[in-house]
Amino acid sequence: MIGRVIDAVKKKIDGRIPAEVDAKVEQTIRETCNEWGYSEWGYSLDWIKRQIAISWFLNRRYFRTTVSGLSNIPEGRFMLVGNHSGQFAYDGMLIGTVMLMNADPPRFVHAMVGDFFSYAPFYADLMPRLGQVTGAYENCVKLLNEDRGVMVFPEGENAGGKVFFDRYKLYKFGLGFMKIALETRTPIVPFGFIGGEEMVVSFSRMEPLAKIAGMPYLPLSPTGIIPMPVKCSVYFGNPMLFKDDPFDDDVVENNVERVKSEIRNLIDKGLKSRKSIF
Amino acid sequence: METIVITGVCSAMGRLLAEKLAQTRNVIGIDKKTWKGAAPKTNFTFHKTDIRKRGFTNLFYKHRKSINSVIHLAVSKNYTLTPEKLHEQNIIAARSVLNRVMEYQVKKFVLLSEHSVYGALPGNIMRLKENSPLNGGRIFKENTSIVEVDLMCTELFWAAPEIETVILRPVNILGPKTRGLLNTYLKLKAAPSVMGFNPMMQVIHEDDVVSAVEIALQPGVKGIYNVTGPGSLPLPVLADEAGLKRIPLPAPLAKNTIRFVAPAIYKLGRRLFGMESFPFPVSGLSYFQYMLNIDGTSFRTATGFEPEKSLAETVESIK
Repeated sequence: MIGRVIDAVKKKIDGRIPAEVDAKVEQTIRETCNEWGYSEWGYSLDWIKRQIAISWFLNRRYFRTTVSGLSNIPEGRFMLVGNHSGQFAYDGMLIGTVMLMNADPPRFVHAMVGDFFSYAPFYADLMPRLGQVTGAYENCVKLLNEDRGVMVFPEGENAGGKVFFDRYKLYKFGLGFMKIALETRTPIVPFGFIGGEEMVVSFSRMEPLAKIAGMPYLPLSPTGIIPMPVKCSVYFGNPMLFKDDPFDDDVVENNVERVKSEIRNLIDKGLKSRKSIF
Repeated sequence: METIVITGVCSAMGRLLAEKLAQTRNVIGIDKKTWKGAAPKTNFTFHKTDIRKRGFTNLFYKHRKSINSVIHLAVSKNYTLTPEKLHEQNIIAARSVLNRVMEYQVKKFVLLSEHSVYGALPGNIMRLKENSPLNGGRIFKENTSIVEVDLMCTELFWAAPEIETVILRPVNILGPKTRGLLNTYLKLKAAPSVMGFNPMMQVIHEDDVVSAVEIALQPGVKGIYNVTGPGSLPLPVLADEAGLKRIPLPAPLAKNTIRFVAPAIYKLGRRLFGMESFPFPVSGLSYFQYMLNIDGTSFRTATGFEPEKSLAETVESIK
């Protein structure tokens, strides 16, 4: 019964995938998939087309996302590092779509997600189909060594659930991403995402309740999981290539601070040039 | 001509190996079960004996001068037995074989283990290397003995370094004859699956595993190797191809269906229609819930092994 409903919805979406989305997804990831359209990493051609078709529509019509600095994305491997917001990872979805649909040539990015998600039914199924990968050190290194792009939120999954009074604050950054970047000689592209904090306004993380549900946080939001039609913008900074010793923690920490301040600048720039939330 | 001992030769994989290897070598097949059907006509002798008993020791003594290699397949995966019984059987059998191998300084020892020794766990990373921890028994209790046999055989690397020991850990074996966990599951008509989880399953054709073992028998090959096939597919796609009707149930319900309801139906079926008993262990369901992905590049670079069957041919073999 549920299976039939899901199949019907799938068919409906498949019939309405814009030709542009179809072409760009085929162009970027067809080579890495087998004859059933699945790659070794678990992402599926069909699922990515469905997701991009929906989020591209939202990008243009609902969030009216503006992008600047896309020409900064280098060829070959790269690591997108930015601020996390949006309660339900809408920011990651929108940036992934921007990279595939607005960048020339289109780039497919793998979001690194917390391993909490591999325990969660349905999400554990959907997560790899859309190219998201459990954020383990080894996984990230393997992706970068294959010259792919990854997206990292070094604040961690907790930062996705910032309450409204903490909006556009940057939490403490983890060091892991910098160690990986140093080890694999990957350029880091910092970005600032504006609009995510107003999309789903949260007044409390309701942690005791979230704990029962086995989640990191549960936003107390007037709109529930539905995002408000705020105007979003993404600012990509210049790529930063570091060439230090990945095992020297002091140097790593220093580099992380440099990336963090770069992101801070991008966010400030974006907030200053924003005229209205909607 | 080389002489090879295959323990557990009556298993499907044992039969395939015996048929292939008897073309070029002398094969001594040992099993406690009776060999049914046609045996390879030349270069093959079958002995019905339990490798935990005296008969096996005597047999080994008699042929001690001619035996060059031992392939250990007698690791029971008969999940209708209790985990305790399975553990006892497998450990004592492996000990007995290892003792004989060391005593008579056999040149080559091959163990056909499986990738389930790494365990399907939610936090697994992609492409596990051979040095990854063997967590196979953590969720899947029936699997503990298989993990332990694998570890016991690594003893040969330091206790008898002159013996060329090869431990192969192939991914899910598909094919018309063998009875691996995934293969057994896919050959059912209908089966519960865990709702909301569909991990990618790496697959390899049984003929490719046979050729991997043949490569492992070549002089000079030594070590622990993962053996991967032509690729991986998610469980629903494999189930559709195999014609298995999946009944997605929430995890606790799926487990209890496999534990209580399905064996009851099978029991009734056996009484009425003479069906076989239900062969699927409950905790094995974790393999259809969490990801297990291993890296087979070191075997390929060390030996030049390439699977002959494509992914389409491998999937075709379960129809």
